[in-house]
Amino acid sequence: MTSQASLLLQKQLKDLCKNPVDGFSAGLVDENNIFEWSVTIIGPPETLYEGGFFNAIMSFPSNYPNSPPSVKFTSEIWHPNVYPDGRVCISILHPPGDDPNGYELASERWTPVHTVESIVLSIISMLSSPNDESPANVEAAKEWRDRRDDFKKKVSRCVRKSQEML
Amino acid sequence: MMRLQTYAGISFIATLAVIYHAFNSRGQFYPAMVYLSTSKISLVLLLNMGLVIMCILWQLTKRVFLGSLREAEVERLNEQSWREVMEILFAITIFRQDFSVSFLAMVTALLLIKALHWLAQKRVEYIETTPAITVLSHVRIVSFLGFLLTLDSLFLYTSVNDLIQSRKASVSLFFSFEYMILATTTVSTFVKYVFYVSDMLMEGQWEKKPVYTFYLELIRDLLHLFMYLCFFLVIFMNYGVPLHLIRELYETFRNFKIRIADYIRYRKITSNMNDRFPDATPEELNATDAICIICREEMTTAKKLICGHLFHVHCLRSWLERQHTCPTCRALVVPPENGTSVAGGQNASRSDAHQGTGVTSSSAQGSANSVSGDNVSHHQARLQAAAAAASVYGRSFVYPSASTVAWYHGSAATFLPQTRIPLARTSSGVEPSGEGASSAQAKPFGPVGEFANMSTYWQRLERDPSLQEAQRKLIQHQMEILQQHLQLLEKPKANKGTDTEARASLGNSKEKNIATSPSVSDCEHHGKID
Repeated sequence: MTSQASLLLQKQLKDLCKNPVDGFSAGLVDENNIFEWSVTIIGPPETLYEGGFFNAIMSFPSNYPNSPPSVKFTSEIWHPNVYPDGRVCISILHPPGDDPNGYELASERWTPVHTVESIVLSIISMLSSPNDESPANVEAAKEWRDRRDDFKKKVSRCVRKSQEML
Repeated sequence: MMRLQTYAGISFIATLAVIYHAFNSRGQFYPAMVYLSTSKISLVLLLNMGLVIMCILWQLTKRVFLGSLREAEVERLNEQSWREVMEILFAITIFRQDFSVSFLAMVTALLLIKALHWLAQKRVEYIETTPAITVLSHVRIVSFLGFLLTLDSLFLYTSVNDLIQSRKASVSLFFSFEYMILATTTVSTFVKYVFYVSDMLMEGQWEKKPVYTFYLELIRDLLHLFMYLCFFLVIFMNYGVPLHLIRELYETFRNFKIRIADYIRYRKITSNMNDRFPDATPEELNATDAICIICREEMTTAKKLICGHLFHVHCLRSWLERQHTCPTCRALVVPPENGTSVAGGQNASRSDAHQGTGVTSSSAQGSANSVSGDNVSHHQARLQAAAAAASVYGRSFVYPSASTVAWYHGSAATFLPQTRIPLARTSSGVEPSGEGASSAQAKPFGPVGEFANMSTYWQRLERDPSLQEAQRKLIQHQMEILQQHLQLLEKPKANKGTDTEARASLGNSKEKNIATSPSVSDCEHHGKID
């Protein structure tokens, strides 16, 4: 199991090195640990996050691809679907099986076909279309819904900060 | 660390001061000792010193066996320790007649030893997932586990001894129970580690490892459940309701139940995997790119699910342990017992999903529509989803500003053969995932081939918002027509799914295409739903 996961991740790493995908860059946090990835997501153009460079850590479990990785932004980011501590909350990153709370169907959750690339692309699309209906960051969702100007201000501060960090 | 040092320093000075004061004012050894053990201040300071020594010992053990902690380990430590402190406080209330200094010391020691156990577990998990582990860390973890086991048995021995000698229920009961639990945990962690090492020695070819791990965990849980129940009863008879145990008892019970349920389901599916799922024929293998979507390795033999998707036997098996749906299209792998078709079952399970699901709908969904007869609502749902998706795309991807055209142009070109995610947000992207019919209509937005010519088209679109709107409406309209066509087409073979068409129309990229599109929709409605 362990080796299947690391083989698959190594393969993805090699693929991404060979054919980098625009919109993000990915690498390992530590050369010796294939299970911790560091990705930099470029804020998608024509969105509030345009121009930002957001760093995130993806931690894969040993039984990847049967279980999803967790993704956590290390850059400050203000978004309804990102917890204040940076954890990304999208349903494909939730382990398979029906949600005990009944919010999500099993069919919306993790499947083993997801790769680093597809996950990051999902996150990019999450950036361009926040969802405020059951948010991870309630405050951000409220602002996004009701006080868009404040929301924009906060986001652009994050974007500026992320640029300074470069 | 810094704080501990200052704290330790201050405590040490205070202790020295109080001892000095005692000897200075009393003059002789015996009166000084009496003073030290009776004066409240000196007692507090001495106890404090004891605590500091314990903490320092703890830090030392940690340093020797684990080195510096990783973030996840610190997190776990913080999380667990509060819960544990609360539970131990409950436990103290139960054993309040035995309350004494030595009891307090034992409780603190227990807490610290427990913390070491959590760290050991986390560290073993980490080692299991890290490819390159130095020999030093192996030596460290083995000796650490050995050390913990010795500690556990030592404390267990003294507590049990005490129990046997006094022959009545006392606080030793609590300690012997706790150390029994800890000892079994250590043993199971160690066995898990042994599994990992043997797997590594076999160069990852040990296929039975998950099975053994499963049994190991099952036995451990069973043992824990049994012990918790015994302890619960004993405490209940002698003292009253053991509040501190309720959570753990419940959690162990729940874990155990889930494990058993999983196991039964897993056995049901995998016991006859070979018979249940047909082998893929060479033609079927050749028709696709013969890459297993789960491990992305080539397939020479494969198993076929009823939805038509192919996988390695072992990849499929390890996924089915978790979930009984097709990894690619999420159709159920086993027809429901009541005899309705897969598509019907799938449809039922989706019927309460909101509109976003329309995008995720794969071929199974397509056939579900014609079976279920509630075409209209699904149809509308899908249209809405497509529109939503298109608008998202519109905002972020389709019409990049002039300076970024090249950027996205390139990006999309790279995405396409692999995942097609951003494209899935245009209606053309939705189309293949929804119905697998894009090649018929998507001239302007056609997949890979036409893509290169599109940047000028996009630039024009970008300049003209009304054109954007018009284009969107046009595409939506086309989709409507196409969907109707498709439904007509599908009626005769409603139960079989439309996979073959999808494959034919999309060629190699089909699997990935369908596979990745759900992620888009997930993001879309995640917030609503999560």
